[in-house]
Amino acid sequence: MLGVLLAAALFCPYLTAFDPLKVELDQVLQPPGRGHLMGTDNFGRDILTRVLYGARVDLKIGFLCVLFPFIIGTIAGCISGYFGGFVDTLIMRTVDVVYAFPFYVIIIAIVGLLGTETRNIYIAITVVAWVTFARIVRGEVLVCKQSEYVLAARALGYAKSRIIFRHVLPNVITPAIVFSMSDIVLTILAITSLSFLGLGIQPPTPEWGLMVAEGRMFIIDAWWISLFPGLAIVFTGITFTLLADGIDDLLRPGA
Amino acid sequence: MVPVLFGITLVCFVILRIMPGDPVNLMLGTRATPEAIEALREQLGLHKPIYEQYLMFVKDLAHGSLGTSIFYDQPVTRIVLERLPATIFLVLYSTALAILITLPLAALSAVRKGSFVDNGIKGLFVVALSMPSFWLGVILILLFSIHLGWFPVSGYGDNFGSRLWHLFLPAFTIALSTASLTIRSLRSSMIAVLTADYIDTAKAKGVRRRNIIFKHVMRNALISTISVLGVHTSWVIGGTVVIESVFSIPGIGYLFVKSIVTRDYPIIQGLTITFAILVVAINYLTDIGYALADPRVSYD
Repeated sequence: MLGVLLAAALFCPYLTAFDPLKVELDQVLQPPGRGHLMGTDNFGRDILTRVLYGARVDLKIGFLCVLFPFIIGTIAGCISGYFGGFVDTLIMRTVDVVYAFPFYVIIIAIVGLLGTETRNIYIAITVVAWVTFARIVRGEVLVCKQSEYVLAARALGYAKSRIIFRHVLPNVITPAIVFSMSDIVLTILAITSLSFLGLGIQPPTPEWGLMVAEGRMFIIDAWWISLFPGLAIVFTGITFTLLADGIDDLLRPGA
Repeated sequence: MVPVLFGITLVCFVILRIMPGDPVNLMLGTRATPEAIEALREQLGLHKPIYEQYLMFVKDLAHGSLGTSIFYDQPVTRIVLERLPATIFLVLYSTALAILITLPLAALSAVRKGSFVDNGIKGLFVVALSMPSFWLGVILILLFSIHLGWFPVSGYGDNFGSRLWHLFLPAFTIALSTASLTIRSLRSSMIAVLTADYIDTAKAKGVRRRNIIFKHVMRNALISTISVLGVHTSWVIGGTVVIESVFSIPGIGYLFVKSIVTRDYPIIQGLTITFAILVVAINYLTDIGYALADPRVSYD
């Protein structure tokens, strides 16, 4: 399933002869059929082509919107768990404050206020999503820092940064990696929701959430415009959910 | 709790101030006169030092004042309180539906672990968890409102019965995603409880299977699911922003999206605080529910 998604994203120019942005007014609102397998939208654009190109947009943003929080949250969790004291209190109270706000509210507020550029979507999701990684990693670090090899590294006089990044981090990162796989699903759902509300990717870029929103106006007569992008999101969600379960079983067989 | 509340007020205060450009110019538009700009700047206290602005903000908050809406020209508190009941009704309705879906399906899945029924239920909810709520809402509107005509496309209703009818589709949309998580949690807990000695004792005593499942197993398995339900309800509060927009429900979620579009910053700020307070309240209620469900749990 992941292979299908990646193939769609990487090879979409070779999989379809249509241009996802080209308006063809003589092909407006065509139902699924021979010429257009998933039909066309209100600008005559091929839906299948836009779904394939949309995979590029959503997968790219989904991966980056997990990567940035993963990096920031892991570092914050390591520092918080290892040093403890005031640093730990400061970071964890910040985490508690971020958790107090519903996920969608804060990202919509940030994107709505900063503007709908892609950069601001990265910022909004990163600001909210790093906290879960920080909590997960901090919990692991609290246990790991009592291990004998860490105590030995301290006794040998190694620098704290060396202990954290060479000895602690490799042993605590697994739960964060497992979580990041399921977080991709949540992130892609968040991005598509933002676009559906008009606060994410802007037209005419092919993006699944945006396509569902654009199809709403024609839902009675042209249900395919909203249906197929939504199915693409469901397929992507199932893929990464199963991938997350598989990686969890692989990396934590006893859990 | 106090540091969290302090952090919430700080975040809500900062939200208006992180925007690029002058917020007053953005609120009034390009045709605003210098006098109007200056008057609004004074009204919002933006001409004062930043620490004074924050103290004014906290003082107003303590008195229940969230400012005045630019778009509606009414106190934000009044606008929020008018729309809050719709959102709370939707959240409670969806939670009730989620519980109704969860209990029988989790019990069936746990009792028939490893069977076709169990795998079918698990598969169904992997799919449900992957569905974007806005898409599911659109599909349900297409099927049940437009083609079958069983439910209205949008709206809130005038009385309790009418609201149950108007909000069934949006509540069901939310309930599906909630149930996906709670079924998984309850199923795991029930499987663990089913192997307990007291269950074997109940079976040996000849207690009816239904009574074993619903009185002994489920009661003890529900405890961890209450936590999952509580955490997810906080998520649902934020998710109303999307659902209310799909179904045009006049709640605070729909108001939030509209205020983003109209750049009504006092409402954006007021609603952000409201959402945060609702989340803190739900977390509190979850802790209380947990203590009520499990007599072994107590809080100092």
